[in-house]
Order: sequence, then C-alpha cells, then structure tokens
Amino acid sequence: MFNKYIKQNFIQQTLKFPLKTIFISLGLTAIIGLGLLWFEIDDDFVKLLPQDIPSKIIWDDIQQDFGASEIMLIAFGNKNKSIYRKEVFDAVWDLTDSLKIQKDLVEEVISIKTLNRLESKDGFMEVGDLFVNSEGILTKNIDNKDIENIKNYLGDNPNIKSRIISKYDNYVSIVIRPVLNTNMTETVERIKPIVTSVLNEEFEVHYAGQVYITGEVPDLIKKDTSTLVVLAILLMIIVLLINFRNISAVLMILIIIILSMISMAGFMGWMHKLTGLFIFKFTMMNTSMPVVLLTIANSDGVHILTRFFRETRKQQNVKDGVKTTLEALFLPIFLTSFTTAIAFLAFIFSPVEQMTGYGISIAFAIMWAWILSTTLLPSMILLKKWNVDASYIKKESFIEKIVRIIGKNISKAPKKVLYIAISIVLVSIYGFQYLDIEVNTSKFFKQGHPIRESNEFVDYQLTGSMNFLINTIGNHKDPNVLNDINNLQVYLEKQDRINTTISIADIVKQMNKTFQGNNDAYKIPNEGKWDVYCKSDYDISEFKFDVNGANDKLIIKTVSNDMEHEYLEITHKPANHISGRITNSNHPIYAWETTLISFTSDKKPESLNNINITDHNGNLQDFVFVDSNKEKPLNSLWIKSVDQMKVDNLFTLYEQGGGKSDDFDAVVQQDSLGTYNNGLITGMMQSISTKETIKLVNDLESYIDNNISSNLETKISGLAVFFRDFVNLLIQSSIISILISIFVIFIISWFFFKGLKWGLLAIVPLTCAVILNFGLMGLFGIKLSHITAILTAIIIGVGVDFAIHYISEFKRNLKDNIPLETITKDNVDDVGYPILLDVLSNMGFVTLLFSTLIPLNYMGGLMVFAMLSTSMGTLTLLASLIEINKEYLRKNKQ
Amino acid sequence: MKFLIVLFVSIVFSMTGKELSILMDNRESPKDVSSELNMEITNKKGRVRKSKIKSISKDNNAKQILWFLSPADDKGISYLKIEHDNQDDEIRLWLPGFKKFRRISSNKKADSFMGSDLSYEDMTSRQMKDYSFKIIDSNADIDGKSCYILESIPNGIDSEYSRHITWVDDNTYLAIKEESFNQNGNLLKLKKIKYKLIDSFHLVSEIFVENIQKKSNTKLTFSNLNINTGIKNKMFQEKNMKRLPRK
Repeated sequence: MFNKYIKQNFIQQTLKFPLKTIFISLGLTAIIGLGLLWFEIDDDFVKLLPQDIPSKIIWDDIQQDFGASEIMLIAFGNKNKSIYRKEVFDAVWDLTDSLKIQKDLVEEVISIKTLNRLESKDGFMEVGDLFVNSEGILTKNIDNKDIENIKNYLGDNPNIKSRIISKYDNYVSIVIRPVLNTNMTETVERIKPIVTSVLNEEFEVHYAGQVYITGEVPDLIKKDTSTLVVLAILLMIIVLLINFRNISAVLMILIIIILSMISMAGFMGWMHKLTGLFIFKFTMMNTSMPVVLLTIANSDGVHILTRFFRETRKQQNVKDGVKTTLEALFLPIFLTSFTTAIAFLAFIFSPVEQMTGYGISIAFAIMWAWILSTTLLPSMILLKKWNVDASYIKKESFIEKIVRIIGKNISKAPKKVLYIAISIVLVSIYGFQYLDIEVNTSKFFKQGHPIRESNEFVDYQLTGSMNFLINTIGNHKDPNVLNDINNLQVYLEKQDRINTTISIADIVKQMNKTFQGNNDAYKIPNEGKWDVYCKSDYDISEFKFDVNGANDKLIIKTVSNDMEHEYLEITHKPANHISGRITNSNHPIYAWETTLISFTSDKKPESLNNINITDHNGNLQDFVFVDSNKEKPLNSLWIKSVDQMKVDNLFTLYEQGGGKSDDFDAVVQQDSLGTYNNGLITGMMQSISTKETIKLVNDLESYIDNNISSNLETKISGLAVFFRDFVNLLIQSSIISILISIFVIFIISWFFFKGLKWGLLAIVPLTCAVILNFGLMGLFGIKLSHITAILTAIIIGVGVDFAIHYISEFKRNLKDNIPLETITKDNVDDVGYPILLDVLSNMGFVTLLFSTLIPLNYMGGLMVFAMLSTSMGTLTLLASLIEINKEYLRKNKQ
Repeated sequence: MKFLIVLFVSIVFSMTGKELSILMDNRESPKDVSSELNMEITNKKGRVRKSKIKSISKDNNAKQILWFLSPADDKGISYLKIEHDNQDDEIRLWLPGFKKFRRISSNKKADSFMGSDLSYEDMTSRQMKDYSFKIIDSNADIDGKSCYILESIPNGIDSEYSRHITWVDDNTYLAIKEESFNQNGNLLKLKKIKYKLIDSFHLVSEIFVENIQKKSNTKLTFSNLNINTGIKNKMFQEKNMKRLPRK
C-alpha cells in the first residue's frame, strides 16, 4: 500500500513538476528556517546536568542555603620570590576591590584583604581585619613591618594560611565565589580581563576551580569544533569531487546538507519559542548534532547520486535514470531515515534531559533531509543538463572498482569472511571490562595544556582545584556534633588527594585557642564536664542523687553553687551517687537556677535518680529531674553540658570582640530561632578522575555509617560528587538508547521487509558495530564521557543505514530473479559504492584528532572507526551471512 | 536645691549647654529599679536575634547587673557595671561555660554589648567633667515636642565618638533622640528613647539604636518595671553574677 500509493505519487510529482517541487521544498524549508530567529545557544554546562537526581537536589539545597559551592581561583606570584612584599600585597588589595565591585557576578571574594584576624587581648577575643597597618586600620598603605605581622599571624594559623598561600610562600590566591546561578562562561569571560588589567606582567598567573574549567570548556569546544568541522566538510567535498568528478553533483549534496542544517536549527528555534523548554536550546551536549546530521544527509544524497549515475550509465537517459533511482531507493532511504529518526527519538528515555531535545530535533532534521533528498534533490537533478556521454557518468570511479573486488571475494569465500568478522567482534567483547568513564572536565585537557598545567599547579601548591561538600544537620554548638565533624575532617584530610577541609568546627577551635591564648587549646571544648542545676525557692542544706548513665569514672570537679562553697561536704560513694551536706547552717546553698555541683564523665549522663533534697529548714522537698531543653518547674534539677556552654560563650565572645554572626554564613546557617542546625564541610582536593571520585565518595559514606553518631546527619554533594551519579546516568542513557534503537529497528525492518529474518539481519551490522566500538574503547583506554557517549548516536544513525540499503537491494534482486551465483556480487556492486563513498566522504572527521580537547580527539577517531566498522560490518558480516543463506532466503522470499 | 537654682538661672538667662546637662543629670530618679528587658538585634540581612534579660540597678544606673535569661545559648551570661566618679568604671562579664570573670577594660568600651549596636560606652553614663556641652538649638521640635538640641563633645577621654547631638525635651529634660558621630565625623549611630511614667519618675521604656554604617539595629524594650524595692548594695558583687535572681 505504502509502496504503491505514496511512493508512486511522490515520484510522479517530482518527475512531472520538478520546478514546482523545488519551490515547495525551498519554501517549506524557509518557513522552518524562520525558527532561527528564536534559536538560542546556552553555554551553561551546569544546566545540562539532570536536575532530579538526589545528589543534584542536595547540591541545589546546599547552594540555596550557603551560596554557590563552586569557585574560581586566581593564584599569582613568582616561582622564586616570596609573596611577602609590597607589590604583591598591593596587587591583592587592588584585585580584591576590582572583583568585589562586580556585584552581579561575584558573591564573595576571599583573599588576605578580606580575611579576619582573631586575637587574644585582655582575656577576650578580638576580631579584626588581617590586612591592617600598625594602628589596626584596614588600609592599602602598609609597610614591611605590617606585612611581617601578617606573615607571622598566618604562620601561627596554618589552617588559614593553607587556604590562600602556596606551600613555599611564593604564590597567593584569591578565591571567587560567584553569585548563585550565574553563567560560568560569562563569569570567566568577565573576570579574566579584570585580572589581566590589575596584575602586571611580572606575575605568573594561574586560574583554577570548577567555575573556571566549566566556563572555559564550552568555548574551547565551540572554537575547536567549528574550525575542525569546517576542515572536515572541506575534505568531504574533495572526496566527493574526486569520486563524482562533477561539481554540480557535489553542490547538490551540499545544498541538501545545508538546508537540513537550517531546518534543524529552525526547528529547534520554533520548538523553543513554542514550548519555552530548555531542551531545545543549543548547548554543549548538542555540539555533535551538526556532525551527525551531516553524515546522514550526506548519506542520502550520495546514495541517490551514485545510483543516478549508475542507472543513467545503463539507460542513457536522465529522466529514466532518475525514475529508476527513485523507485529503487525511495523505500530504503525512507527506511534508513525513519529507523534512524526512531532510534534518536529513543533518547526521550534518556535520564539526561537535554538528550530528549537532541533526539527530537535531530529526528525531525533527518526526516526533513529525507524529504529534501527525495524531492528537491531529484528535481535539481532533472533540471540540470547532464551529458550522458561525459566520463563522470560513462566511466566507473575508482571506488566502484574496489567494490567489485570486495563483492568477488565475498562470493568466493563467504564463510571465511564471516568467521574473520565474528572473531574480530568477539575479541572486542573482551575490552568491555576495561571500559572506563571520565566526566571530569579538568581531565579533558592534554598534558602541557595551559589549563591542565594551572590546575595541577593549584592541586599541588594550593588548596586544590576541586571540592566536595558535606551538608551536616544537627546542633552545631553541641560539642559532640562538633567532634563528629572534626573527626570526619581528620579522616578526610588523611586521604591522599584531599588537601584541606573547612567547617564550623575549625572556627570553634580557632576561637577556643584565641580565647585561652594557648595553641594547645586548638580543639573543641570536650572535657566531658557536666553541671547539675537546680531551681527552688528554698535554699538547700543537703542533697543526694544518683547519676544515671554516667560511667564509673564519674569525678566530682567542683562543688557548690558558687564553685567555692567552703561549708559543703561531698560524698561520692557508691560510684554514681553524689551527696552534699552543708556544715554551717548559716550558709545554705542558693538554689535558684544555679549549679549545685559539677562532675566529669566520659559518657553522657542521662538523668538523676533517687533525688533527696532537704531545704534550709531541714524539710525534705520533692524535686524532679527535667531535660535541660524543657521548661523548668519549681523544685527541679537538670544537667547541662559545660562543654556546650563553653561553645556558646565562645560565640558570644566572638560577637563581643567585633565579629558578626553572619561571618559564619559559609559554614553554618541559623534557623529562625537562631540555632545553628545546618552546617557545611567543604573539602578542597586535587583534580581527580571520575573513578577516584567514586571511590572517595563510597569510602566516605562507609566511614560515616560506621563512625558518626546519630546526633549528626550528613549528606554528601558537590559538583565532583554529582559527577559520580551523572556517570551512572550516562551509562544508563547509552545502554537504553542502544537497546531501544536496536529493538525498534528490528521491528521496523521486520515490518517493512516482511519477515522476521530480515529484521534480524538488519540489526546484525549495528549490533556488531556497537560491540566493536565500545570494546575497542576499553582495550585502547579511550574513556567514555558525556561527549564520547554521543557516539552511540552516530553509530545508530549510520550503522543501520548501510544494512537497510543492502537488504533492500538484495530483496529487489531476488524479486528480479538475479541468479544466486552472482546475486551477492551484484548486490555489493550496487550498494557497495555508495556505502564506501559515504564512508570516505566522512573521513574528514579525522581532523578532530587535532583538537586540544581529549574527548574531541576520541570523537574524531571513533567516528572514523564507527563509519568503517558499520560499513565493513555490512559488506562483510551481513553480506557473507546473506550469501551463506541465500538459498533459504530465496525460497522464503516475501 | 541646686536643680532649682540652675533652673531659675536658666529661665532668667539663656541656658548653656552645661546647665542643660546638669538639669538632665539631676533629674529625680528612683533609688533602685528592677526590670525585664527584651533585646532584638537585627543585622543588615534582616536576621533578628532576640534575648531576654533581667536587670537590677541602683543610684541612677551607676550600679547595674544584667542576667541573660534567653536564648539558651546566652543563658547564664551576666554583666556587672559599677560606675565611679574618680576612677575607671568597672564592667565585668561572667562566662558560665568557662567559669570565668572577664573585666572589660576602659580601652574596650567601644566593643559591642552582646553583639548588639550598643557599645559599653553607650551603656555607661557620661561624666560631666569629661565633656563640653553646647546648645545648638533651643527651639527645636521633634514629634510634636519642643526640645533643645545639645551637642556633647568628649574632652580628652578615650571615646569611639567625636560628638553627640541630643534632642532634649525642654519640659522633662529627657533625651529623646541622639545622633552619635565617629572619630571621622561621620554619623555612626542614631538612638531613640521612650519613657514611661511610674510614680512620678520617668523611666526608660524603650531604646532603639541604629548603626548607620553597619545597617543594623537594636531595640531594647523594658517591662515589669519595679522601683524602690530595697535592692541592697551588696547585690552588686561578682558572686551574684553567677546566679540568676529569684523572682
């Protein structure tokens, strides 16, 4: 039905009214092309990442609370000079100010100029600026003595120093935290010129941080791709020209390609306009679309033109040549386009949202390319005056001669060819186990590339260029929680690639050290000390109670409400029992919300039992034990952690000394009641591979499960961590697309070729090409990334086409009763030439091997390999399979 | 008597700044005051922190203890202030966690009181001998009240301010509003004070302080004001800082 009605109508329209056909196709393409008005490019890589996976949701929440987590780092200095000189400090001052005024872009600048100094003075903590003169005034006009002062302070506080000064004191860094949700490419584009204008050429400058890498990569890919793709197209033109030996033929193919590209971009523009969906923007993920469409649109045109030349050579008539070409190729070209489009539509099932837009857009473009190839192209062919006696029609091309040789060999020894092909595929299966993934953009650069070198510099000399985040939920003034956080940091800093971590625990330790005026006090107050409080209208002459939950090592530390009550006699037997008795009745214990007694215990005491209190009149009073967080009725006792009170007091002293509570915003957030219950540990680390990231995060999760108490809830996130989950999605995405595509192609081929066997045969080259490609990636250490994963698209797009052309032609030959002895040779002669020409004309993508980006190198090499493997898979594996089973196929032909 | 003489002189002759300040200083005040304070500190990001404080004072605020009752983080912290005429004022802080007293020395008077916009200097009375006074305007008006505008300039003392401009109600000689300028002459703080009449005494019921440069503000509201309850001098000693007063 399809064959007879639609096909005949289509063909007749084109044959009878070529000019009209040209105008209609161009007109419709122009309408679609209008969508270019709304075609948008978006460089923001972060938006491409799936938004709904748990680690991304956590990351978004963290950034909402704490601001942007990813940073840009600018390090400058000179290899053999100390940074403790005036020129450097002037530069730090100027650069900090220049960056801070970019308020739409920069949330925070961390440098020597913006850091606080915590000092012990008169028994208090004094909070001031670090970058000050001898009078304590924040000013650019500091002298060498002031610089020495700053140097000494940083030397005494290595945990602060390591964040901004390099290992050998020869580089200083400025860290930029961007405003949340700003475009990273724009951020980098604006900041770099500012840095260049402020820092004079005497300084060596390095950039690092995820913001920098993520901001630079799209532009690099764009530049590289656009230059190299142009080269690839030029090479394609040259190859086509050499083989067609006619410039009009090449131009016609180019016209189809260009119009298909316009329609693809136009379609994306229309869809973006109509739906407003981000998936129809042109992003980094979409950079391979032009390449894919190029190969497919080229393929259609090559098949039609080669067939046209072949038929015209036979029939010596252009119109007949076009007619026969269309009759022979209408169905296969439709099928190849349709199956490819369906295969790309399978991207809808990808967990990477952007791939949905990719799939839909390219599916549309492929179908439009089919329409243009079967209407506009034949019309253009008809309208052109061809010389049927010219050599480009009369004489076979070089490739046609090669194809004859291939055809002969397959006919002679099909089994040998089959076994060799299968062996190669089997060998490549072995490579699957070595397949590795790398999505860390900083690893995309070759050794020696300035970006990679800067990254490595920052990794080894400064804090590191990557980070991860641990969101901590709990009372961040509770010493037990702070100790858990501290222990987590200690564990992390022992890991190889982690340079430093920062959290509220570091600040508490710093405050404690400063207040106590003692370096040994650089720790969380945690003596396990507890105060028993009481609240009564009566003064007390005697008390007794058992401490429940404290261990046997309970030690009385101090006595009485005033801590020096001379008339109080204490008994402490048995181990958890405490008794106190006033020896002078004129001095009872004041009992209104003060301490009764203090003790230390390794274990947290849970409650007080067997309470016996006698008031100053000698009367026994009823007292109850209450939780310290609850309302305290009259005649009650409760236990308070002294360590907790110390932490509370440290925060009070900090504010008293000139600090502000929002100084801690980067590490802890307050809720509406002023409780610090939401904290963040930021770990700075060296740029590591995706594999190492996965291991780090898994080990960290295991450590937390086994070592962190239930007082503290943790959630791990950060861009580096998020990549771990993204990796899984990437694999899923590739596998899903391949499986669905293979299945759909099988069904369609089964339907259109009317036979299960044809369906199975159609997917043989595709399946083998997939195995070959990924297996060899594993064997040769070529990493899978979100860039190389697009290869599946190319393999699918191209891989099935050759098989469908081959099968379609074979069925035609069966129908025409071509002798079985020569059927394979004839088949290969008919379809082999366009297949090989198609492959050769796409060899231009080898230029991607010259890209500065490793994934693009892989893309180039793998693309070439994909074309070769799918074409050879068709001309060897499929051809030999069909040759071996030709008797059976003839008997059961449909 | 002195007050009446000064008042008489000031009525007959135009008043000087010093005379006005004497009138302000010599207003009648209760022997002692106990009250509860609610302190709200709002930072530049709009974040509010609330505290509840118990206060007792004597001798026109020359002696004062403040105990922090809430939030839980601050509970137990207390301040003791004793002002002296001929020597440095004493301000002590009790830190219940460290079981330590800390004395706030005179050169730390610019430090913030509990993270608020009030400094220790703001909380202590100005000694007449330490300032020079000048009336800038005798017929000013604020919120419908006629008032004097008095300029006070520190005289050789350690102060975070270069001068104060105070609006003084010309009926009650109460400071209603004040602008305080830093050492660079820039406006640093704006204060507004409200009063409540209890038994013929005008007692402070609300103080609002805005730090113009830091864009933060503090509001202190006084409630449960009780006067002349017989608070003894011996209350104002360190040992009482460690224990909350019974109600």
